[in-house]
Amino acid sequence: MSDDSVTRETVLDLDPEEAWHAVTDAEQLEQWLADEVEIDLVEGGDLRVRFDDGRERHGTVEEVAAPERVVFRWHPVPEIELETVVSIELEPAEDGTRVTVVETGFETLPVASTQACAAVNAWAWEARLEAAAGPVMIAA
Amino acid sequence: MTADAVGATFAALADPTRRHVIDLLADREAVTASELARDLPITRQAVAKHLATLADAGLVTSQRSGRETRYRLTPAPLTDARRWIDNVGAEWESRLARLAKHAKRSL
Repeated sequence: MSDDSVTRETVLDLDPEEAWHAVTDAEQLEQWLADEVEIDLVEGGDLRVRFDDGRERHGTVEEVAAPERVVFRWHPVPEIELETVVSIELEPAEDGTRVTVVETGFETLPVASTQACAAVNAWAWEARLEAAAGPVMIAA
Repeated sequence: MTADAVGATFAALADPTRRHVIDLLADREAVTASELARDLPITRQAVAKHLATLADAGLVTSQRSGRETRYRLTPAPLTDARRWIDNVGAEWESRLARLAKHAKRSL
């Protein structure tokens, strides 16, 4: 439960300028990030994403460093205050442009707390005894 | 699990006293609000209120026997919430896969 960030990467068949467009332009973002995207690409600008199932996320652009890095904060769970930070970094790769996404801030989630974790573990143990559940505590 | 349910779980757990209640329940079989109140710096009534909130989020179930109501932890929502965090990585994976596919197409 100590690791509070998620990192994923891919390499795009695009040069950095094109890749920058793909990760910052609303219409492009609608091809892969969410079904509807509104982004004001300036520091402090609004970010709104909507999914076809009705979910919405609101956020704020934190940093715009074309064509290398865009950082935004958003609220992954609408009902609670939780805010995570998503950083999208671009760097030239041999066969295109590498995109690295790092999302941080999950340590503020109450379920990531030691107590809640202990509770889940206690229950997981019980569940194992009853052979009633699958894997439970997967490290973040 | 829906984002709404995860939100309800996180909201219920946002309060440190409720997390403490969860912690106490995790160690025991089934307890009354009075028993919990002995281990907490709050009244039985306040404990009952927190238990009600936890019950609404599906984290606690109660059972009446005679004059007593006993509470026990039903931690499935905790596990779901935990899985939700683990799922964040999987979500980015599929988003980036879509992006890579889209990038190929647009060439």
